[in-house]
Amino acid sequence: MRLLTHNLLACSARTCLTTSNNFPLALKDVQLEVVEVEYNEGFLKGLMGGGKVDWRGLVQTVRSLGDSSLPETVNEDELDDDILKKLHHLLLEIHVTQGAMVCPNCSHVFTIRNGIPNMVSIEPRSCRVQRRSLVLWFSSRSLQCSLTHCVPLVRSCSQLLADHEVQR
Amino acid sequence: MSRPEHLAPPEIFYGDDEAGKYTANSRIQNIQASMTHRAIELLNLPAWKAESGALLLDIGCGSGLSGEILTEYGHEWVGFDISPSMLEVALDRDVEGDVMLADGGQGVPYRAGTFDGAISISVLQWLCNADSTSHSPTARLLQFFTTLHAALSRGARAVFQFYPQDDDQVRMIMNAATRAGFGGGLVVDYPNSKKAKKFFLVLWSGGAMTRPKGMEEYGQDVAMNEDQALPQGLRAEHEQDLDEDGAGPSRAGPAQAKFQSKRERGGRFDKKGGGKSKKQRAKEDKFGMEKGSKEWIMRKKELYKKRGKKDVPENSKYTGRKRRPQF
Repeated sequence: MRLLTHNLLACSARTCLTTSNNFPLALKDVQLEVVEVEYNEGFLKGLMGGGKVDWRGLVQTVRSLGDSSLPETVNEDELDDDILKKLHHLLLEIHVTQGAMVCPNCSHVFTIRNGIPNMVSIEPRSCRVQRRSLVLWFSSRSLQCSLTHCVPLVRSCSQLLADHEVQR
Repeated sequence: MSRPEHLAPPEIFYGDDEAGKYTANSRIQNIQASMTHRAIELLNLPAWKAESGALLLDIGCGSGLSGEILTEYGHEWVGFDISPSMLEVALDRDVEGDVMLADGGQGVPYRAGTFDGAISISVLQWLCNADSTSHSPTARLLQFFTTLHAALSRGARAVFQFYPQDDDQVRMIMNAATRAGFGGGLVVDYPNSKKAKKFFLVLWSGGAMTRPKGMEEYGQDVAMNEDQALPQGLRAEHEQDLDEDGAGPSRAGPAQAKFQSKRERGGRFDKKGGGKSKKQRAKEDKFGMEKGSKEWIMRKKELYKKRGKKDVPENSKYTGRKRRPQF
């Protein structure tokens, strides 16, 4: 998987889709490989000009791998050859062969084997079913929550919901 | 053999054996190639983008049969598939694009506005059958289309070649796509041919791709048409004249072909067009060569040699030579 592809990835878990914190996926314990490819200027210009590359994420990722040659910000309309060549090397020539990626939001770990990342996010069905039934119970009881005998029930529901939040 | 998606979920149906067989089959390779070419045509990438190379998504890339064609056109691509065995085969074939294991029904795992286009060959019907322990197919389809809509950039299209089971399935898919915010429709090629008929779902989200500064030297300066229009389906040569009169046999327009409840999987449905008579077709093999002709003989001998068959005679000046009529 090239670093370009890594820059495009985001966590697709339900809770993560609505945040903007589901990318970049933090690389962990990775093995890298460099494969030389022909330089394609038009493609790189199209990437940058079209806003496809998440610059902040790219800088973060590349720095975590030990390379601090990229500037913090870049003007997408005026790219000099130097930056383009650097981008060509970083985005298209560096491959991640083994390792893992961690979602900054839900901390789900995506493994990478033989260059193929596993992006299947398993959402435990039982967990979801429990939460749904609790929410329904809570809302049907909301009319009676002022009654004293229901207050302990309401409290225990919210306690259980809070527990689930911690687990996830 | 009925529809494969009724037999097992895709990651199980395409196990190691089936993945190997599927990819090695030359018939499958040819069909997938021609459908990929047509899908890329339907993507309608602007000239400057096609010249410089686009970033495309291959949904259900499998062993990379369609991805290799994308590479031929000069595009960079990223693909995902749910079957690990197919991805293994893709690794062996050393495809240029990056592939990953992902389930489309959970949502495509990409940031917003990343792709210039998406293609999918023979995949969408698999998304309509979900195994019972997960969400309903409708929910999965909606999740898939919503995330795909987000992942496509402005003016990008998604083209799906698929094998719809019936009208209801098409309606379910179109509903999900519309709810996700897509516009578009179904393009049917060769609607009157049972074997050559192909369905392409073409989706877009409005707007057109803007050419960034610094890319003036790519493509020609043509006034961009802002509106997206549904392309015409291909028709066989003998039907194109009838179209002008409007006095052809009762048939629907190109985008509204009449549905059949059963999909025929014959032996020769990958032929180009349906413009030949039955007798002619019986004499020809699938590549349009007449059986028994010299070029057919040469081709068959090459094929046997490649497959490692023993005792294939060497070619000489007598190979396929016209014999003296015997009686």
